[in-house]
Amino acid sequence: MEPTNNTKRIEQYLANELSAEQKNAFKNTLSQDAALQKELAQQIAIHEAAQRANARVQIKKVAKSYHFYKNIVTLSLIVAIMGVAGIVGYFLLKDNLESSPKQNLENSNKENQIHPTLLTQLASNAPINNLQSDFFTWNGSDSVIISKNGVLLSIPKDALLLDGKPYNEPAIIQWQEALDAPTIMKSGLSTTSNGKLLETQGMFGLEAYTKDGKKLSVNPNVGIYVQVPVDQYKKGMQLFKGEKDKTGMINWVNPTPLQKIPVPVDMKDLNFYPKGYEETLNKLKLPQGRKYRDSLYASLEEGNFEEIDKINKIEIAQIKVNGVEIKINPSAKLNLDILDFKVDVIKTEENTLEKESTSIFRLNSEIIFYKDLFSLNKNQNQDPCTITFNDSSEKTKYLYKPNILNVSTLRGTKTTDGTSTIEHDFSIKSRLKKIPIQFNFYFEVLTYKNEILKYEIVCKTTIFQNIYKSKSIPPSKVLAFWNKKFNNTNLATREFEARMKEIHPTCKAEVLALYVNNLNKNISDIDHQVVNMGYTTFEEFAKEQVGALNPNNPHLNSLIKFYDQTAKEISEKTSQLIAKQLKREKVFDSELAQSRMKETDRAILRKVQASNEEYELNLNNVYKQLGKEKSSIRQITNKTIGVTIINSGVYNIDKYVMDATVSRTSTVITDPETGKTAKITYNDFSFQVKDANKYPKLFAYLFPSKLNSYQHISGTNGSFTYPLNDDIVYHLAIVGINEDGFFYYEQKNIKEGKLGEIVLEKLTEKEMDQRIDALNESRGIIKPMKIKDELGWLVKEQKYYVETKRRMEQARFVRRMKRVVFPCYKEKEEGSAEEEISDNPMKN
Amino acid sequence: MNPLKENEKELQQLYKKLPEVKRFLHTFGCRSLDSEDIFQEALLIYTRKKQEATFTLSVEPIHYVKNICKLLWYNQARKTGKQNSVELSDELLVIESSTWFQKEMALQVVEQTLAKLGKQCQEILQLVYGLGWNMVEVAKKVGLRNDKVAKAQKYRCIQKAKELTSETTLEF
Repeated sequence: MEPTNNTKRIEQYLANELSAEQKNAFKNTLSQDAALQKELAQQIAIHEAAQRANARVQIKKVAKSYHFYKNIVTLSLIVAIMGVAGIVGYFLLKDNLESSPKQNLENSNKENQIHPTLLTQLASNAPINNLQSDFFTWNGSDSVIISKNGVLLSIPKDALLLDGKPYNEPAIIQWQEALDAPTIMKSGLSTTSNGKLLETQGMFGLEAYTKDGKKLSVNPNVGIYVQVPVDQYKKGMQLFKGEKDKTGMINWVNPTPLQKIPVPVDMKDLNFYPKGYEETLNKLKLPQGRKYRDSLYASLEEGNFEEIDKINKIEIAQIKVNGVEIKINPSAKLNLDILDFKVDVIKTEENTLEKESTSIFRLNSEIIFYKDLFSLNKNQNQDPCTITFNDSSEKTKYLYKPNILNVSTLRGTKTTDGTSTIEHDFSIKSRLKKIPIQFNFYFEVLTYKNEILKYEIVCKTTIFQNIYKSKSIPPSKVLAFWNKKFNNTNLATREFEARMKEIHPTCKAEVLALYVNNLNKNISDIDHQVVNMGYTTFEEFAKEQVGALNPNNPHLNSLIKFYDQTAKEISEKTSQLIAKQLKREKVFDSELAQSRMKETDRAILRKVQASNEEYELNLNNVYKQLGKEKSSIRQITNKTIGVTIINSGVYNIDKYVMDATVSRTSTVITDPETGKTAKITYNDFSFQVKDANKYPKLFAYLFPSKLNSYQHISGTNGSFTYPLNDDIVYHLAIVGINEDGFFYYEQKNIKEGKLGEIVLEKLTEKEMDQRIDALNESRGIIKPMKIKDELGWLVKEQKYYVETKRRMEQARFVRRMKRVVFPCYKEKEEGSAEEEISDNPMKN
Repeated sequence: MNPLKENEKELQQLYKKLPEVKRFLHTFGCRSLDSEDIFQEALLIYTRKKQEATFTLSVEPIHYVKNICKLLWYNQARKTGKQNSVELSDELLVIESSTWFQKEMALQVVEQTLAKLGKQCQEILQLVYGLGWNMVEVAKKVGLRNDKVAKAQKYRCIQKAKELTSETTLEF
């Protein structure tokens, strides 16, 4: 029957014989034609079935030979015994390289019954006169022999011929070697080729005989592989064949280039890490396992960011607030070192954002920095990055990097045409040309209930630029082939292992790619290519003339695909892990920012309450001293301070008291009407904290006996001065925080004085909580101000120091490892700006 | 070494385990006559599987082959409605339900159908798709005038094969 057009077309399509045009046309038809799709599937299946059929032929062949050999098992046993004897001989040789191979031959003589006179006869007819002959027995199958000078002979099955036919019976190998100058001269060997003088790295002679003394020849299709140890590789060494002339002198002719076949080694026994990587980890006593070391190595991969020249992504989400659509128009400009970013939020309809007048909307923006930004700061005298906010003319320098930075909160202003606009305009100027930054904008609406309705991220602008990608060999590209899949290829050899050690310092991934993508080529061909790329260190390798291992392996192509895919997977997985880490840090930073924001609110509240209360106390005192009835004159509540004024005198007294309270200075007030005086006394009070510089955060709480509130005071370099109200007895608590935990001191019932130097003692978080709490409660007042939130904040701050230390240590470790792993990684001095901690990147 | 040779060498080694595999299958009630066929099919699957770049062996090859034998016998016994004393481990159940295994089973049927083709057709298809020979080589080997004639013949063989296999379900 004749094939249909469809059948032909599909065959051509599958064999990739169609032109691009025809192919597209075919694909188009295919996508619409279910019947054709079925035919395609059918033909693919036929191809695969044919493959199976072919494989089955091979299996049947194996089955046939299995059943055949089972029948002649007795015969094969005899061969096997001889084989075993041979193997023992080989191991003996291997274990006692120093011992003479003759010894070994004598052992095997007993088995093979070679007459000693035959050996003497063969020795006298040796290919090289005056040079000692060594004899080995060859057992008739693949075997390796090592001579007394370490020359390796590999004689495979079918390597020897008797009368032109493969001879796989036990044979005698006669071996002569002259590797050093004295031996060469003693044996009178020439080093001339047709009259020209040659430099030699060894000469050897080889003959093979049956055990009856019949001469065997070497099968030119199989060959015997000889590997000679040399002190150094010399360029242009070739193999010459020796021809005896009439006088018995040897002339060396027919030069052929030498080629060394790389020896396969299991991937698990090879090491492709850069020089110094393992040594450094060992020095740091880090875990030994491959799994740990591989993942650490992978994590050092640089350039997890896409390289781009411009802003690559602006996502605009349409959001609706109370049914009204809000339009966000982000626009951004980027040139090489200045980044300008502008966001307009335009409300489209009049007054529809929220009906209630108290509601406002605001835009919160965050800048997320990626780690490497600050580790790249080479010159410590320059700011790595300056951020200028055009909105607020705020200029901030950051030495220590927070992962996340709340830039500003902008409130929308309403214009007469009923639209509201937020213009958010700031620029980041960086010494470093390229910085990886991500902006996130959040749109928030505050309702009249003072709830914050947070809307989704409305604009996420990712400006990932590849920060300074130092040239390097990406770890993923190394780990991808360091895998048993690549066993028995050029890569799983000691030869490539040695090259890999030199590929790392080139920092050029292309060099590695050459070796990986050309598994079918001789290693020496690639060595030459690399030399031509300008890497002269590879000249030594090129001289070695290393060939290829299994260049005809049909799986090489799929291995390369597997390699690319694996490298990608490793790199992606690592990026994910890093992203996860960043996310965790981001959560931490944002929680910290929240906690600090609340602390700011609390501080204001506390200050207001404390000064109001103290003012009331002082005022009462003064009135009492002046003999006036205060309660009849004023309502004392926080809300009505300064509101009810009966006469000017009282007002004056209030004013004096207020001034004294705020400035905390002793004051004498005279009543102009009565001439009576009243005194407000503030006593000097001071103390110093020992080793104050040990605590990045150090402050004191004063709990007054008569007031509900408490005071939070800060010192300067550990010195605290705070005048105490003579009418009040205070409890003092001092808190120091650093990455190691909490440090604390407390003293009760203080009126005044110099406490001198105070030593803080270390407490656990729980102990500190309990003691401050107890101190707060023990003031003998009815409603002491709650301190729980304050303690929560302290805990968070302490964690911040721990976190900071961890991040810095990690950054330092990563930098150290990068310097080891990537020889081209830009060096940076230790102890530079980046390692200083700015106490608080977000203003506290 | 030539990979074909290498594969043959491994198959030879594996084939020596035939008695062991027979005993193994016998415990599940498989007759000796069937067991060698099953063993060969398992070796075939192993050979094909090995060529996949993503395939990794977690056990010795012979254990893998034995597992596949068990799976094949389970399948065969189920089809012929024989009493089934085989219980599959989770690992085998995963293989049993995997796409590739189902596909192999379907391809086995197609392969049996191909055996109904003429000798020359079978040879051409095997040389082209099994060994990847080009049409010039194929023409020489099967004794056709030139590569064009061989190609035309290949199309005819495919057409014939399609007709023979049109009954087979090919969706996998």
